[in-house]
Amino acid sequence: MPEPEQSLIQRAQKGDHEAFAVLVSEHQRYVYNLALRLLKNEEEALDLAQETLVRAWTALPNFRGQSQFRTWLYRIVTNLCYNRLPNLRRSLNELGDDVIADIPETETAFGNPAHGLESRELRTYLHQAIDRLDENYRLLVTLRYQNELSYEEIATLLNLPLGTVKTGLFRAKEQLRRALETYQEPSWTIP
Amino acid sequence: MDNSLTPEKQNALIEDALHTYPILPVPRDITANVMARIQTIPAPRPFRLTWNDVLLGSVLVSCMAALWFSLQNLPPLVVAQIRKESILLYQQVIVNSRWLVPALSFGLAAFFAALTIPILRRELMK
Repeated sequence: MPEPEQSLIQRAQKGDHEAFAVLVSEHQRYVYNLALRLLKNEEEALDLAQETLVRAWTALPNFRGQSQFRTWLYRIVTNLCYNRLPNLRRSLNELGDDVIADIPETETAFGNPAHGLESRELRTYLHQAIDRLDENYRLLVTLRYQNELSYEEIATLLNLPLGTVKTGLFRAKEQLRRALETYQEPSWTIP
Repeated sequence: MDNSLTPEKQNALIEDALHTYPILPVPRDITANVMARIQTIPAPRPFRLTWNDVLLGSVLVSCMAALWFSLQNLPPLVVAQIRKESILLYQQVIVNSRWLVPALSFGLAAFFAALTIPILRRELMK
């Protein structure tokens, strides 16, 4: 039976390398993915993921467990990304929070594959459209949908107002909607 | 594009794409690299008060207590003398403040400018 994460963190805080290695192997995929989605370069993302985990080790005594460990790691990733993408912080701040109060979520929710796409091609096309989103939208989308953080968690992590997070995600979806409208493929139909 | 694509269907398609946006595997396991790098870093130590901190704190508290008791127990003549000297010093500062204020201002400005040197150096070394 695997050891609980809390216990691993406590052991790592006392300097236990073995416990930290387990944490690294469990979280490296998510750390790497967030870095990759932002930097769009495999080698740079690997480098940043390593840097994140090394910094996590040095900062581990300061981790008080007020947030989840993985959320804390994402904060380190985004802080490191701010250094490599100088416009990211500014573009996030400039999103504003004047668009909407709440984002309407459709029925296609987590764990409900019944409403999935029939068209694999269209899904791939939309995934490519997500890859082409501006870096600030990519960050928000990745945190929300890949890392499954709540709006509140994203707002806390990025030190942004909740409304800004909602606005950013709303605008990201608007960009995807525009991409969808430009998709010209007469062969597929919606069931 | 198909005409039957209503806004609701568009939303559903977008949500589906967002939820199925793949999490890619790490091309190579970085655990070994990370562990090799942290071997050279001293083990993190949680914040703890050391005996040195306690000793330093005790000395400071004792000094302040001793100063307070001394002031309380000084003879009235000495207290009056101290007060007179402080008034004289204050007057002297006021008279010389024409130079003191600019000197302090420039000194502080130079001090804060000097604080930026390590940051600037780090930026230039990048």
